Amino acid sequence: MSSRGKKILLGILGALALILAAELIGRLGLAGKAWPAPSDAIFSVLGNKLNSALLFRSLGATLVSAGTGLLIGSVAGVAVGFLGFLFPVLRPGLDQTASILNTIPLVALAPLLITLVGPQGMSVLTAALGAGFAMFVATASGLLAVSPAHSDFFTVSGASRLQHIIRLSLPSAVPSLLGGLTLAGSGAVLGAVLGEWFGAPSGLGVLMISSMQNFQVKLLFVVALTAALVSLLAFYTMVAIQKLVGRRFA
Amino acid sequence: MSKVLPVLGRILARGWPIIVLLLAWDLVAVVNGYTDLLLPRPLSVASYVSNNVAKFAEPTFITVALAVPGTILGLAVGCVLAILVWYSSILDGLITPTTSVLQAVPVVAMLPVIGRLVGYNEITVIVIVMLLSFFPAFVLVLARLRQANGSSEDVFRVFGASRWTTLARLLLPQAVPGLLAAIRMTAPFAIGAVILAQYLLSIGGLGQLITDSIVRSDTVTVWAIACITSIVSIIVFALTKRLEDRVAVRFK
Repeated sequence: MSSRGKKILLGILGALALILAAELIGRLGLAGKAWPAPSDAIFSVLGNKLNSALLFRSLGATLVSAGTGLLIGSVAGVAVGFLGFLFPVLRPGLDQTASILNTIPLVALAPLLITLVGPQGMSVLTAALGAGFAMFVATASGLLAVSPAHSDFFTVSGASRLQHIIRLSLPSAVPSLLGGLTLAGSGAVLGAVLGEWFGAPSGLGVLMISSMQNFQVKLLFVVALTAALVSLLAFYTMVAIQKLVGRRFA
Repeated sequence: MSKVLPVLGRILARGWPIIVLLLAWDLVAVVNGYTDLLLPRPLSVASYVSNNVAKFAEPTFITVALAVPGTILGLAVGCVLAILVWYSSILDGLITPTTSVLQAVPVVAMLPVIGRLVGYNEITVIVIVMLLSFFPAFVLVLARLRQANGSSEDVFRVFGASRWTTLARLLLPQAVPGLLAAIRMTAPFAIGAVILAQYLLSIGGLGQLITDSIVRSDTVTVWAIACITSIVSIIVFALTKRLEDRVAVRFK
């Protein structure tokens, strides 16, 4: 067997072992009542019309917040990164602030953010923050990733600063921007779910909290699984886009 | 005077957005005529903290102390897994794909599940922090273990060193910068995760103080906690960055 085939086989085996372990722990009740067998939880939640409707409505709300946040955050992150590129005086301050803002826990920012946008807007805003940081870093480093030889050629050929930026810096930044998007996608999903914990009317985060407090363990399990899947999907969609588009710019 | 100006310039170059933020905060409060109940001004928050140090000191200490065992456990698990995966190609095939898939799972968002599972207590907090800090340690340490270092490894082989000797004497020291980078990446977020868990599960520390103060409409305290948390996270970030810069040089 080829080494690639062996690798894929082992990977599948590892994943199966994990799923099997989760199922066994649930069936044998090893972790108590709070760990249902995944298959049982999925069937009973999806089989119940009320629960599955609730799940899909919440999923929709979270997707809208995460998507809106991803869009806003990406535009803002790229814009601020570009600002630092155009005005180098601002760059040290922007870098410093971005890494500090990224370090400050969401809970600490929550009162400030809630005063700004209210509890309904929290999930979009936190999703935007999660995505924005990744895009800012990607833009800031991508715009500087110009090969010196190309830059010299542009200068020697008498290119203006505008031509320099549009024809050289921007295309060179594309791979880095795509890399940033892979982080921004799952960052936005996480941000949206966390933001919903601060008083959003609906969403996966809200459903998670309510099912935790009401001891609906099966629902809680399925909601958490859904959130994880959405995050995974966001990540791998971005990776696919990166592969498709990145080939032209590599 | 000639010495003060460059220092001032450096602070201004790096810190201008923070000054802008503080001014904006104050301006919003003053222009809208908000009372302390709605949006306290920065100075009144600062004076409140300095007058009530005892109120904040203990919860802050609890929060920071809780972040430590989880981080250490997570780093340890990450290192052990990295060594196992480095040692056995079968374990590599079994574990690595799963961990890289699980890495995209938002760990902090799993707080309610783990809370329900482990109980509404400190152990949940430790487990969350552990899960959060395990992955960077695993990836970064493994990358350093696998880093090609041609001649040194040849020397070990020529002298007939066993794989474990090579690991202990050559590769583990080489992996130290990876571990340090993992500490820098996870420690500041550990603090945030602890507070979020304490907030959600109401189990003491700064997190519960937030919940209690919101219930009592004690806005000044909420804003004070926000500032304290930010400062603590920044200090942890700066300290771990410093540790990385100082120690990593010795292992390069």
